[in-house]
Amino acid sequence: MSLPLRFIIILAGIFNFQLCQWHRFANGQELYICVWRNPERTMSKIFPDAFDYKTVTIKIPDEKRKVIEKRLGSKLLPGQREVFSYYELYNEEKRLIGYILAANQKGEYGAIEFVFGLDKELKIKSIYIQRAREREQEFKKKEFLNQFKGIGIKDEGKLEKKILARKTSGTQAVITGVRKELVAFEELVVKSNK
Amino acid sequence: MARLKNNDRGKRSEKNVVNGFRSWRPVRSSVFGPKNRDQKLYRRLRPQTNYSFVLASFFLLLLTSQNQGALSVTADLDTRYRTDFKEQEFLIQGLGLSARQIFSDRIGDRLLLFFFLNWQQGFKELKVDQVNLLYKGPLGKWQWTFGRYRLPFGLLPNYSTKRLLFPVISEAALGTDVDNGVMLSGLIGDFDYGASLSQGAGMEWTKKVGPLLAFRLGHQNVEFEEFRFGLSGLWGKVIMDETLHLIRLLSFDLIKYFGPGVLRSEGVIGKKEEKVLSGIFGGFDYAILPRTDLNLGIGYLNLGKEVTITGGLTYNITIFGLPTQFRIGQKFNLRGGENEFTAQIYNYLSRNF
Repeated sequence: MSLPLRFIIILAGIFNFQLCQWHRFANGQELYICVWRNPERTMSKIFPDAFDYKTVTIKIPDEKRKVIEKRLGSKLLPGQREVFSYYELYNEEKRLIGYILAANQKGEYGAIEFVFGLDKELKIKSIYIQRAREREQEFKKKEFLNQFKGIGIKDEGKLEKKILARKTSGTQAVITGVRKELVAFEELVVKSNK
Repeated sequence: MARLKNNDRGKRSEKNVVNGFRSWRPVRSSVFGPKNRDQKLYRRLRPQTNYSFVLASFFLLLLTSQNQGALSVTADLDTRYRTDFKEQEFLIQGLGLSARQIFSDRIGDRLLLFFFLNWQQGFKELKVDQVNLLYKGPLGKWQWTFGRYRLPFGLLPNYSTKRLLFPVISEAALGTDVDNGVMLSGLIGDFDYGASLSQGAGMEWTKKVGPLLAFRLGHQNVEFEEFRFGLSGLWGKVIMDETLHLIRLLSFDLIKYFGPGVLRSEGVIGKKEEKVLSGIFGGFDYAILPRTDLNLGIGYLNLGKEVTITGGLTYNITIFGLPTQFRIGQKFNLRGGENEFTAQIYNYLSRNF
């Protein structure tokens, strides 16, 4: 059998499998590991007083994952189930001044990557969209993103009511993503430190 | 220019340079010639491959022996069918394994260890593509990198085409995208900088080659990563096609995101020995459907005297939880050289620990 024919058969086999399994995999079953390309630039914008930062990675125990998923009402995405990462920001006096969470959420055209800061009172300081390929741009507008400022970790349940925006896949992805990060942070960091 | 050998493999490399595509991936292992040729120079340049594996093993041990920092591991597989409509090949182009470990002190990330092993050309070659140790200053204002790393030149620091069908010309002009040495890089406001002193040996460990100096100054938006550009320069000796070359190059690069599209471009101009070297690359990716990207490109490098236009499609799916890309691409050579069709299946898996 010639090489091209062999390759076409392999491709056809994989595509055939994919079509059969489409519904199973099409509903957000991609791998969503956050790769923050240039953390320092955004950190300085969110926390101008920051002197340095530390990456913290926490393993998510099964029981905690179940609690988080129950609160969210949906399963965590692949790549987000095993570990939770965030950044601790310190000033020149080596005092903790806040946290940064970098996350991504499924949009219509792939992952929407965003970053937001939490101050010491655990309220959102500001939020930046890092990368997205969506056609609609509603979720990138300042009027939408500025509404997140001041929202506390305890307000996550009211997020959908508090943020007023045209309902698009982009705005929904950002709201869902922020809520997910807040819930995970509360369960894995705040409650664990109590 | 120090000629090391001129056997058939050498001629094939020259042909590849002219005919594009494969030439943009020079086979590094053929750099070092047979023992009966220019013994003195050969001994001087002989690859110290064992060092790579000793170093990689050491890094692997470091990564696995402690569990305090953040560890990311990625594996990927690149399978291709390629034809120029006369000959054809079906091969595992690359199987990669990379790991990145962060070590932090009380207030900050301080040391980053990274390695990337790559089995290439159908498992015939196992290469340490990158292995480096990065010492990081506060908020990345300065950082020192030691080992083998991507050179701060052109698009290389921001865009890797190792697993893509159409490589950038900075890599084609240099014959490599990585080198062994020491680099100072960092951020000042919206600007980033990088300055490197390296061997010019690419993906081999050698003794006393080079030096190769490279620098890049870049700018990037913070609000949304939609536009970045850079100016870079490179001067020194580099091993390419079994020969030591003196290279002097300047480059301009840019990346522009707009909605579902991204444009990447770079231009290089300079001298390779006494010959003028110039080239330009432009690549445009556009999400035409939620899972499907259109990939267009144009490349010109004067030494090969070829102009290529490329077109392709990428389809992104997930199979058994494994992100997968199907890619097809056609290269047209406008100056009568080979046209080429490539089909690729690319799988990758990444996990944080």
